[in-house]
Amino acid sequence: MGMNEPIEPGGGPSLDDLAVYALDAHEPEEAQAIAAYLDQAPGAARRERALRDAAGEYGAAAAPESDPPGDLRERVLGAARAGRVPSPVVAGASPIDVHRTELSRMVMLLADLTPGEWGRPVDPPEFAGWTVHDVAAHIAANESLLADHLGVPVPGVPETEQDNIGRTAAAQARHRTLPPRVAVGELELAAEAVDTEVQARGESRLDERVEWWDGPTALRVALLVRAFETWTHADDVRRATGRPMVAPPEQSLRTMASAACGFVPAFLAVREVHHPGRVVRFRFDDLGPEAAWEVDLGVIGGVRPAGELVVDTEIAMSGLAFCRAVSNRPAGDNDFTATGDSALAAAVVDALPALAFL
Amino acid sequence: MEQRRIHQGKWAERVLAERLAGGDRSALVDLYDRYAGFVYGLALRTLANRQAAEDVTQEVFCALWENPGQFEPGRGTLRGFLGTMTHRRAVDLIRREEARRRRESRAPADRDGPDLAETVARSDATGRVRDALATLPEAQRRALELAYFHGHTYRQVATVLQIPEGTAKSRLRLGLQRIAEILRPELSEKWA
Repeated sequence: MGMNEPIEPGGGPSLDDLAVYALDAHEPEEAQAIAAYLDQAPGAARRERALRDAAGEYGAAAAPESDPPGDLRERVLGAARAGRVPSPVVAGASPIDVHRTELSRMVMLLADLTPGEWGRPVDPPEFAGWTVHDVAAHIAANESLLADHLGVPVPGVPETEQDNIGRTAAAQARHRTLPPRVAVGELELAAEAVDTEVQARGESRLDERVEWWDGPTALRVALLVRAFETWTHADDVRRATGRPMVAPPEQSLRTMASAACGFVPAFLAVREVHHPGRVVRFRFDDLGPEAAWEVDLGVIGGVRPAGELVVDTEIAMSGLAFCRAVSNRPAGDNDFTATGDSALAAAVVDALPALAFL
Repeated sequence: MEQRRIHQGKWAERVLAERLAGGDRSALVDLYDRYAGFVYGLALRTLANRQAAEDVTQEVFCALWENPGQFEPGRGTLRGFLGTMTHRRAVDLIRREEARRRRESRAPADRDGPDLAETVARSDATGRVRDALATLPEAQRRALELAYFHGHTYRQVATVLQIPEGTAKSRLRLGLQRIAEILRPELSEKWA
């Protein structure tokens, strides 16, 4: 078939005309006629879409990025929100949504790195000698481990170690011989496998046990730990590459903060600080209404909504700062105010990073 | 601004699209922060006017936020989709301006700025599409640049290059076809 002949037996535009149309390079009346034809010709429409996608990628490849003026961001966001009001944040996000949000953000962050950024060192002392590439390999290894435990292993990932440290070391050694895009690809495949599986299982099965580093763990906990860790390391990558740190969405932070409250007794236990029967209330002033939870320091996981227990001390602080403290990362603002037993409050806040090494 | 390498996975973009569809305000921020440099850069490259580029940038993000279902993750990348939206609006602006100039009998404005070859050379050398552009015959590259970045119709391309209109169409089709085949190799058997 010649490229000037109609592409379909009954007539219609030629392939030349479809390409010109995909480039928006027809005269207006010609474009209208082609548009009308494509509305009724799905085969031709598919070809046109392929050409139009190619036109979009051509533009993407050929035009250099350019920093917009600084004030454009708020103008655009304000105009967009005025055109369509965002959904209200009424409650904490499901661990499924928290996981998929932070993992997808990490994938896109890594996908945007320039070749020179992959070799930058990251700053946490426990990762001395690690580069951004090593962090990506570490996150991919841990996500593929969860995928393994959910019965959806990632094809082509050879690591079989079942512990965090061993699996990370093996994955990093392998990825140091491979292009960075392989780590990004493995992370995305693992995250998608986990996401697809947990969505299929649904909310009702989030309390089922899954094998984890130190034994069977509720799936909701495993997902939140993965999200927490991924967000923490995404900010490590952002600092290493000169990007601003990014907080999880408010609805995710509520879920992450309330879950982390449940681990406060474990944080204290690691520090060999014991206060059985004592109760702490956390109140987070940046997480919307009723963002307050009470924790019996003698019961790991025993977090309750505020108002149910007799409280020995109340700690008011930023939820974001609380989560960053749990991750042992700089928060900029670790200030808190305590009412009641201030010494207990200080001991609790001091213990927050105790399990960050995991 | 150093050019980026783009990973071509689809899952992360699908999650972002779903978050946008759900009205998640943080997804709107993520969308802008990730793609504003590209959208603004493409608009600026096409329009050679900062205010117009800002206006197009705002239109593109508002349009996608207000109607997120426009983007179908299985059909292409979000970057390609935003590129199409940006280009279409920019070309509309160029043609309205040209029509106004014709009505006012003014000479067309000179379009300063780098040509495509110079732009590609400055861009990051990685990427399959960029590699494909480098292998295109000059005649096809020039035709694509005139149509895409200068908003010319195929007739205007023919006039500028002093070639028949049919030849202009063919050059545009061959260049675009080559890019499409880079993106989807299975297409090479299916054009006929």
